Amino acid sequence: MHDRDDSELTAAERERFEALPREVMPSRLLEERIVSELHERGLLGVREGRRHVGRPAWGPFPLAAAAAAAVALFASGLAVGQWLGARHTAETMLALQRQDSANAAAAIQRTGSAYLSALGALAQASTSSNPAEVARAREAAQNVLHQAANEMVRLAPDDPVSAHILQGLDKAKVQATTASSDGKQRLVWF
Amino acid sequence: MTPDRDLVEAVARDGDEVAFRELYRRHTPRLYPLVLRMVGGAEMDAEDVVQEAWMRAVAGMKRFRGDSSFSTWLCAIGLNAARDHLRRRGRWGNTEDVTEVEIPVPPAANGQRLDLERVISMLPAGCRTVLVLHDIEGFTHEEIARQLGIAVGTSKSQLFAARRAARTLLGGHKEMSHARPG
Repeated sequence: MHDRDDSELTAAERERFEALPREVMPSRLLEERIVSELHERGLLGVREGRRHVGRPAWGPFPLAAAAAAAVALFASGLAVGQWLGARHTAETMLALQRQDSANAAAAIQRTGSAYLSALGALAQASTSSNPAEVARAREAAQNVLHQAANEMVRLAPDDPVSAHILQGLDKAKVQATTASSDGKQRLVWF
Repeated sequence: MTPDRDLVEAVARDGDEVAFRELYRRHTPRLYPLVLRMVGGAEMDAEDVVQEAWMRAVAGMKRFRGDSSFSTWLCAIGLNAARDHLRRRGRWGNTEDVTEVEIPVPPAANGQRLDLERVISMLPAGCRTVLVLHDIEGFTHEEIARQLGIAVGTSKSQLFAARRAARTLLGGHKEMSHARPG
């Protein structure tokens, strides 16, 4: 309500004043600037979109819930870590066992080939007419057989066949050494 | 529509951003032109003052008792913020001294009729404020005197000087006008 005074506005002047805008919205940036400033000063709480008027964002025990969630997360991480570690170790052991098995199979194959070679050499020596050649063949076959038996005993210490072969060869070697008058021994290595 | 009082309570109690934005969009359109006219039409200054007014309002919302409407309460805060702004800039003179109000007429206005908004922005801060509050916002001299902390007679004198200076400017006078309260 206006007071009346001596410099009353004319009708035209009053019309001009009334034509002036009473409401003007500033730029949208100002709203965002003010909201941001209010957050920085701690005068506004949770950001828009996370909470509505009158509805609490947390339950009655926010700290307890946060602590329980943290413990559950830690325990889950620990369990997953242990499982992954155990899985990795088992895979490594399995790979090593596979590698050992492959090596053993290759060794057995080599030993078998040596047995066959020794047997072949003995068969040839038995048909030869040259005594010296028969003696060299026999010595070479015995050496191969000795090494093959050694390898078999190393791979399978409880294998009775390999053990007996090794014992027989050792005994024969001692006898041959004792019987040799010149003490010379010829060795053929493969 | 949620009442202002509920929104004010949500902001004061929970710092509710949604409630604040609703209040802001309801009441800033009235606050902004008031502040803009008080600071002489400088938009950047007006935005700074509006921001300061909302900072003060939110900080003091717990003290809002609802004796007046929220809009009136906010505009009072905006008025004080604008006055503080003008004081810091040295543009808020002695509002009691209205014996002589000098209105410089810019060269571009010589011989031309000026827009009323432009004329208002050219008035000295004290009498401009009284003119805006009285002739545009509809405040009484008692309300203006209480709000600005001046005597009722001073408010009337300021209004007289402001109207006379405005008439001079609107009439397209070339020389510097000297408005004296009669």
